[in-house]
Amino acid sequence: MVKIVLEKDQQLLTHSPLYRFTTENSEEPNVVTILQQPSAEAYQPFSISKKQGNIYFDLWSYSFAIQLKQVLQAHDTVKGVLRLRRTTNKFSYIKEDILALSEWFGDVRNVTVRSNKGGEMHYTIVLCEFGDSIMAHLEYKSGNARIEFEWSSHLHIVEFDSLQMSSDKDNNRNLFKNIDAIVQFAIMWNEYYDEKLSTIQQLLQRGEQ
Amino acid sequence: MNIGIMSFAHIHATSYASAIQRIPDTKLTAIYDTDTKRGKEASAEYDVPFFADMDLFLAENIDVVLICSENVLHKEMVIAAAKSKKHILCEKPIATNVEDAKEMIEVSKENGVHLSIAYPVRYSAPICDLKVAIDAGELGEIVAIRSTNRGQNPGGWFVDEQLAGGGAVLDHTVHMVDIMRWYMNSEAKEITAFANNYFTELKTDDAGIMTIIFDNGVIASHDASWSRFPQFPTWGDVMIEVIGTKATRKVDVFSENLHLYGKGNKSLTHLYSGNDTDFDLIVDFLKAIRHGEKPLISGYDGLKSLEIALAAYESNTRKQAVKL
Repeated sequence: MVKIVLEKDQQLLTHSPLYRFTTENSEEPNVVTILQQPSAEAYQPFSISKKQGNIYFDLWSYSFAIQLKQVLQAHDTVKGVLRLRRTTNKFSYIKEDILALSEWFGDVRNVTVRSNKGGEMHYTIVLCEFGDSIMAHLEYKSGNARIEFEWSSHLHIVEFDSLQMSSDKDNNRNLFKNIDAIVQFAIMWNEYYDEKLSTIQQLLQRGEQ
Repeated sequence: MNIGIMSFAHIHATSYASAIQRIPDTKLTAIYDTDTKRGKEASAEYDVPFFADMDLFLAENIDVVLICSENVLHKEMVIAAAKSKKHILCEKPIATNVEDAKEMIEVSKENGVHLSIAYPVRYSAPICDLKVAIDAGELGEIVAIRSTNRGQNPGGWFVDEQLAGGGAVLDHTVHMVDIMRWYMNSEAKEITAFANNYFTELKTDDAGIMTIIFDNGVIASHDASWSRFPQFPTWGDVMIEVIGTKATRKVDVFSENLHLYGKGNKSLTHLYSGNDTDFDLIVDFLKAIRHGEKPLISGYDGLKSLEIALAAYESNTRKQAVKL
């Protein structure tokens, strides 16, 4: 039995033969109960959670993250170049993404944030480093949800684009949540994450100067 | 029009020499090289005299020189050619430091010759089409730019900082920041960057990323590297995306291609099918000289893009933003 909180504008992939998906509260095994309100016993999205219990990051809640994690585990994740771009109307993802990325790539440091706006278009570029030898560009652009991700390291390059890499572009489900990714990559929130989040917020503020 | 090539150190020298052979009323008349073996091979290949002495070479009846030497030799060759009243197309980067670049521009001006820098990306058809769209206002006001120039490790003198003046950041930044400047008619005012050795065991940097702020407020990200390995389907990319208030347009020069699948070391190869930018660059440069007009790309363009690449190194060293 898994309970999961989904934000209103999010959808879950429900093709798994392992689970029955329902919005009814259920205690049966192999049932995923989808909730829309925060609930302490459920997997909750970082964005609307009260920062307690099982928290999942948006970035690592999609199918691509499962494959990506396997690639990263098989190869060097100490040295390389990380590039993430989100097209979104929620720029609050910035701190969440940095926290999510730091889980996989090491602590963030040397943060610079630059933004520009024209009409309805906002654009933010975060330049930073993770761990000892990873440099990263995280970019945020106004518009309908899209994730572009690239990781380049010695003799390995992995790329993902939620808009382009789809089986059916008229029925693109790349940004539907994947229950296995959520369960696999969720963290149990504790004081360590409170401190980490606070540090990231300070680095982002300082990085704007 | 008589053309001389000064050095075949840069791989573009061969494509320029081939271009000259295809252009009517244009003749490759002499080759000079600091490497006698390399110069003699080129001389045999193109059936033109080779000169190991730069003064003797410049005394020839030559209207234009194309300089394709190691980067550190650009200054010496440009100044000598300018004093001999030859018009000059010099490989990028214009120089390895700002002072040399300024001197090269000044001496060319004093001697009444044109100094142009080889930025063939300006001649890519989709890059030109995007320029037209921007100028026509189709994208609205530009808010941000995103670009990449990631290729394979070129090896040879390119990876020797004493001869190249830098690594991947110098090699692969100047093209795209030149396009940014050209698209916007605006200059960079702040650069923040990281550069290091991420993909190879080279002594020089093989990758760098930077955030650039322009005078008009536009912000840009650029990724420069030698991160592509020989098994990669293509040499690399030359990509620019312009984000405007009305539209966003993205161009990757090398995306005009055929996909060839095969057995062996490389299962997929991208066969480039776009226009020959080296050829178009040479044609346009020689046309400008023939008609007494200013070439599209000036020495000043070379200077401004060099300043950005060097500021990226400075930012990486100081771990802070560098103002220009």
